[in-house]
Amino acid sequence: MTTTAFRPATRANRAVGPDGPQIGSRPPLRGLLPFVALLVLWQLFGTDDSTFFPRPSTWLPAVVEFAESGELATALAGTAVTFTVGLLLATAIGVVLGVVVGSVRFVDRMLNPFLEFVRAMPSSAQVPIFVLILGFTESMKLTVVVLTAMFPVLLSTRSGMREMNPVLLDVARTLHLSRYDRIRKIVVPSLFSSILTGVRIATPVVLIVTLIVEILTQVPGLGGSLSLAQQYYQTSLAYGLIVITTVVALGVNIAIGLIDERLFRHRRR
Amino acid sequence: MTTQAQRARPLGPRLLAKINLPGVTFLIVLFAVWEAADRAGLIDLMFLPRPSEILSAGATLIAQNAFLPTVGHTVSVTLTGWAIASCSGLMIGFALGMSRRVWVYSMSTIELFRALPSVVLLPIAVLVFGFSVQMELVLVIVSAQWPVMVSAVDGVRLVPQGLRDTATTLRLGRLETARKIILPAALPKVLVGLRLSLALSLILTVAAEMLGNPAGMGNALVEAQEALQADQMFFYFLSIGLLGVLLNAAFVFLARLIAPGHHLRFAEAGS
Repeated sequence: MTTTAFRPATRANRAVGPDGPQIGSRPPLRGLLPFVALLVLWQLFGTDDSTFFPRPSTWLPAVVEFAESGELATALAGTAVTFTVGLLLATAIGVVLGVVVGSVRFVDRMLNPFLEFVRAMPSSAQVPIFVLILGFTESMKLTVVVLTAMFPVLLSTRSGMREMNPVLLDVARTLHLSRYDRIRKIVVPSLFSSILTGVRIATPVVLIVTLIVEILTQVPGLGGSLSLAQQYYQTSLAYGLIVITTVVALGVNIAIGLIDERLFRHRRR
Repeated sequence: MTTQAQRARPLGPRLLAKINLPGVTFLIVLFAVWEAADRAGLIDLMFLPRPSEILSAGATLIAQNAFLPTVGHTVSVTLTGWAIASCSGLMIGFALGMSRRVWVYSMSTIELFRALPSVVLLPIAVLVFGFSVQMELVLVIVSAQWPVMVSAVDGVRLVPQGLRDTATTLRLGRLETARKIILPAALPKVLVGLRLSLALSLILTVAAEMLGNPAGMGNALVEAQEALQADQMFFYFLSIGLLGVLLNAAFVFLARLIAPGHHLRFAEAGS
């Protein structure tokens, strides 16, 4: 535990709940050794013109060429737009449904089998359905993303509603707050951390599903470019795009971690 | 006394009482409204079939003996891939969780590969392995092991010190400690990881069949879409969803048999 001392012990204890996000102690960078060894061996024993495993040194020129043609920017923008709009819509819809389902037990019971079914539906299988109904469009991409990613928010909001202190609602009643004021002043603030937990779980899901849809339909985006690179046997470019995707995903993960740390530490102190 | 009376009740009524009536009613009403609205011309989407059309397309597919082999392929690939991924994920996870040195010198690599959304490996897998079952399996195995591995690492690292001390006191060897102390203590977390990776296996199998290997339900779905056979496509789509529900239910059932004490927390973790 010596290398992980920069994180307070209390956080490590709190961090791992039954299904909570895993914010254990951070592993040291020495752990990248096997990865570096793999790359070095690949570079030493690979060839430049291999169809399947071109050397790592050929990835960068391929990506640079792709970027100079302007396609990389288009791809990144496509993914970024779907990611942002998808996350916002999934959060909004998830919160609304979560509040409804969490406050009326009968509705919860009624919608449960339907929601369970939608949740169990593999996102990859939804793609052809919405391609046929909506075509190869941005709205198709968004529909699949939102349908999958709203569930973490919904479930987390629902459990937040259930765990809400009933005294708070009594306070609202005593003060004769209107329905709007009750939601704005009591419900939303006390749900804040549950919603945030849901959003944190949903964020990587949004990215992954965006990429799934792009890869399967080859619509503009990082995934689409990757799929096309595979079709044209531009293997170096495909590996380069995978590296870029990993960097994007890591960036998203780190951003979630930072936001989470700041907000929750603030709320807990 | 009451509990005895409850136990004495025959199985039929007990099962009936478990059925979620409002939920089932809602589903039936949903399909009825869909059917009625379509017949009345209220929904005018070109490629949205009626529920009755979907059912008859499904009946035809089953009668032609085209449906069940497809399902068999997808289920066998999903389960085989999941089983192999679980074994390798568990072994690597235990090694990482139990040995400080292994953790220090490889955990960051694991985190790096885990951050990579597994679907992006699909194009590479198609390139390297071609349109084959191997491609499907490799994709599923490589991707589905991460949830198991990570939950095993966490489960092992969270085993209370008291239990570890017990193992030391009893002078258990490494393997015995893993089998008799660590595994039972880490089981609830491991089960959550296994469940996540089962769902992931199905998603990836279907995706691999859609883009790569021309077999199984994913491929049938895409073929129906390309042939503009919306009724068949919806039938496959709903079947895949049902398969997801069934696989999950089967897993939860087995998990409760294996770890009966933990089922409550387990249910919460998933739902």
